Amino acid sequence: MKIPITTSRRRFIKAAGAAIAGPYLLTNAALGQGNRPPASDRIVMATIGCGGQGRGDMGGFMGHPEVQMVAVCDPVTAHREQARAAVNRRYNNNDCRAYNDFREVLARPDIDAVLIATPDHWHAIITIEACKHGKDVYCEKPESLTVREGRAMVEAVRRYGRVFSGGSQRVLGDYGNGDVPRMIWSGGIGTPREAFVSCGGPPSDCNLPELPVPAGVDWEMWLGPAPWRGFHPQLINFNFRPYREYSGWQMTDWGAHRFGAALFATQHHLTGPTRIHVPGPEHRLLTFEFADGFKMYHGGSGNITYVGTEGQWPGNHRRPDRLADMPHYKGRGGIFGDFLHCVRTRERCFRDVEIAHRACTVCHLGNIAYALNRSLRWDPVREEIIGDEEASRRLDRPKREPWTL
Amino acid sequence: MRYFSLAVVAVLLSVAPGYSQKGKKTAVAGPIDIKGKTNAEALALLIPGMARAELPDRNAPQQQWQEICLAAGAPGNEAKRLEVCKLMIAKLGADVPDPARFWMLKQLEYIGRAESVATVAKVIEDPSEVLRESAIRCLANNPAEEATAALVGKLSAKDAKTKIALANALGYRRAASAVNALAGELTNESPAVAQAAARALGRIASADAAAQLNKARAAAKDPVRLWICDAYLLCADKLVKDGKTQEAAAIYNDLYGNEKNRATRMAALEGVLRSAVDDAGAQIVKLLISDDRDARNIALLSIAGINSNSLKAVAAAADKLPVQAQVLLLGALANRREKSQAALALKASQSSDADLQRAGILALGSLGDASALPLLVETAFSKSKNADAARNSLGAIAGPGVDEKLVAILAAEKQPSTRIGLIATVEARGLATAVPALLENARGDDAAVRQAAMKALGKLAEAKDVGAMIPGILKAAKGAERENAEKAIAAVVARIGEPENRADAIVAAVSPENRAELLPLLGRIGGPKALALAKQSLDTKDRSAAVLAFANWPDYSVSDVLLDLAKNAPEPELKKLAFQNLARVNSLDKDHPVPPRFAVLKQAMAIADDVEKKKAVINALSTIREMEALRIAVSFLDDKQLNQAACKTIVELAHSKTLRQPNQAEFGRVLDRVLVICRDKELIERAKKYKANQ
Repeated sequence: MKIPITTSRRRFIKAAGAAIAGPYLLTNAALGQGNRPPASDRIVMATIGCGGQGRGDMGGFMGHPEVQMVAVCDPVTAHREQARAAVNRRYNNNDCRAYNDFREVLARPDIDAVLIATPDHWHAIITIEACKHGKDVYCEKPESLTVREGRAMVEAVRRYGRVFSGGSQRVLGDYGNGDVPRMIWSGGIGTPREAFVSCGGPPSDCNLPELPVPAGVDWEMWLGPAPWRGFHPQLINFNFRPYREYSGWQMTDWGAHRFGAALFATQHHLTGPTRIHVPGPEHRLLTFEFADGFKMYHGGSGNITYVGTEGQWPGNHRRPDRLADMPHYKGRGGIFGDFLHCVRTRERCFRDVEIAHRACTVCHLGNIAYALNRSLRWDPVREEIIGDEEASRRLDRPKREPWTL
Repeated sequence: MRYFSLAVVAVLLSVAPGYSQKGKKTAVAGPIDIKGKTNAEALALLIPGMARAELPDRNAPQQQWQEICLAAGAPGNEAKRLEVCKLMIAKLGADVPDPARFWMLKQLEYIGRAESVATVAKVIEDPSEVLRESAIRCLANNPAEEATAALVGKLSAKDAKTKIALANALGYRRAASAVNALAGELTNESPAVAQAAARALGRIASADAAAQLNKARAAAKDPVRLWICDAYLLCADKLVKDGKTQEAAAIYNDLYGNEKNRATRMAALEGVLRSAVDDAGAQIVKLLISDDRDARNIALLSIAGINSNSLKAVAAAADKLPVQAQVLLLGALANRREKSQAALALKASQSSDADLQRAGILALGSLGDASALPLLVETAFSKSKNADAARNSLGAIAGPGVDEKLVAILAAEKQPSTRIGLIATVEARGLATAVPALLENARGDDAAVRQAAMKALGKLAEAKDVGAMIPGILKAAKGAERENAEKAIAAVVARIGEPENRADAIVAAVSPENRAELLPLLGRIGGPKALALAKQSLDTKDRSAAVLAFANWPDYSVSDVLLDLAKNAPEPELKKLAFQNLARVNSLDKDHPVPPRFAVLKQAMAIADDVEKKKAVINALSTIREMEALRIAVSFLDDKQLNQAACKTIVELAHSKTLRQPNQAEFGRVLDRVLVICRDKELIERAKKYKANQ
């Protein structure tokens, strides 16, 4: 049987969804630059959230010749204009469009994938909307603000057949090229029994003074689904993370990296704890206890310490005799390259949405336990807190209209 | 406990200084004394504090009341919870300041139940938008059925904004009893309201919700129709979760077959495949050979989740797929780590089609076993276009016997270029079992192989192997190879826990014949035993090697020896070498006490008799966080030969906030001069930043 596959690879893997009806157009200036792939093989991207992290990630993506960044979006004019200028400098043209509202970006049929680097309280909504619009998603960590958001993201990615990568490069990147996780997967410390994970603490309530909104800031859009409050410049300049209205502070910021790394290295990355013990007479540190007896602590010296039945890292681990089969980045160029590879091949990324969700869930549960100052029981299959209704109410947050999951 | 009790403090600290609108630092008001008070008395005392004029001042009383609420909400505290909730609902009237009402609504959001509903519902009509929004959120998170009734009761509100908020709240609480009310809004003239209703019904996802959505779908037009379809898909997903696969499949097939919108159809197709269970394989094969590229993509992604029966069906049909589909299928199988399909990858790796061959080689990294190694090794270290793919797979392949076979292949390999590649492979894999084969290669005749082997040993060898690595040092040609070999051994001994024992194996191996060869290595390792041997050797024929040992020293403990050599050595070359490394070792450890290092550097400056020596000292001064170091560096700003080095050191010193900030004025003046003199753009940018006290 002769199969009429005559389209280019890019067209072959072109995203599903209503938004892909027509071929996209690139200007002459964008075509044929140096060693860049022909336009038909490029992955057209937009950046949503153009603060420091967003612009940094955007630069990383633009370093891949197959990426064509065509749009930037941020409710802070200065941020998006900085980003637009960076894109135009990169391509030596003036083609990059700047948007205030991400929905306009998602409505563009020519965009294949979006980089989401907004404050955390926007991640889930934009990810889900992007999936509905047929876009693949690279979303900065922490990927979710609540447990329920994370699950909704997983479901949307799967339902709409999208490729998703979370933005934690440190699961592998902090340890050579994944050397430590691979050593642990290969039995270098025996069976992992404990992991001490060091990251900062939980968030607090935001009581910053309310100031007049300056020109060039769409405050309503910046707040989006978060409860209404007045403007403060600290919030739009990266320092929103200490406040639970927008983030889970260091527990989710660094926790998404390090709890994620510990979960992966010990192969608990597709499940979750069954109990979360708050520090007290019985437990020196916040302790996540898993069904197989593995314990993960919030605290300890160094970034992460692993203790196994036959050794520990850092410390007396042994070099493995046999290498375990461990998932790793695909393609070239770390986590960005992994995402771009998967956009082309429709494989699942190293930081797939389920893995990202499981890592963030640990962080969120830790924050709930800290906030309530009491231990929790967790069903990692049903994703429910057992026997504590007040705690269960913290698994999600109602959003300010018109936003909802 | 720690973070719980610190939370209040953290907030106070975070808002304490610097947030006044006028830029004036203000003290934040503290907690209110409620010790020994009843909850009712405490609330009465705290309410004025919760509503203080300045937001940061509200924090302490808010947190005090929140702590009471959190404790009351704990399991088993029902009486206390009810008491606290009743106290708050009694204070939700307009006579209480809005900020306090807002904070109490926030508490009721987490601990309020039926008792709170009626009072909170009244706030939905409050003049304050913030309170209205907060009340709706509060009821959205209230588990009592009364909250659903209250929200439905308000759904007749005239303004779209409130309707949307209420619909969202009903969706949030997955209120099955609200289905009919929400269904009535699917035809609202405002598309935004209809959309909110559809989304709420999708979250509820009951059978009734599905029926209502399907009913409304027929007459709906875009964009509302799209939202209705999206919600209908959510209902089908819920059916799958509940085990009602056939009912779900009916919805998916309906949407896939009858809807025009591409996104809806593709999402439905994903559902069709997911609910097909054992039949998914056959359907995926059909899609992979279809003309519909979006459908092909959905089929590819679905492979990650299908069961083994379906997977077998896909694999069995692989040969019949077009090459490009086979390529992508192999990637999907590799991504699933589906080792049962290793034969498919092996066969592809021998295909005459270049793309397929490459995909097969790449897939062997995840799917292959020991039998794939000969092919991968042969390809990886050849001039094949797929060599990189094979190397990639050699780094990843795993399974019984794989590592043993790799080591055996390395031991038997004759071709130097292949041996080098294999050495890099076992190094990357971190294989301790490869050490004997690496030791053998480290003392061989091929220099490139020796270097690769020593590098790998640096990563893989243990203390017990150090003696066996020494022949590798002696065999290494002087120059880069020797230095790299020394660094490899130094890396191994650095893993020995007790620093004083690190040189043991090498000291034990030293003889009059090889002393000159091993002294530089001992210098890299350092420690008391190496120091003694190096000092003894200064008065022997191996004096030059001893000086080289001191020049390699890893810490500043040999400063006195180097200073003496720099001053007094009769050999000009050794004198110069000692001087250069005197500056180096005194800038190695920035955390080491400054006074002794500074004293040595001042002496070094005194004897520096050429520009290069002075530059070395000026550079080393950058690690001395003292104003005197700054002033010495400043004294060279007018020297045309040394002023660039001085600029660099000044900027590095300015980087230290603990040094700069108490001396910002002096640094400011110096940095002004640097900005005029310096020619390095990056340093200029940094100098500007530090001058602005950033």
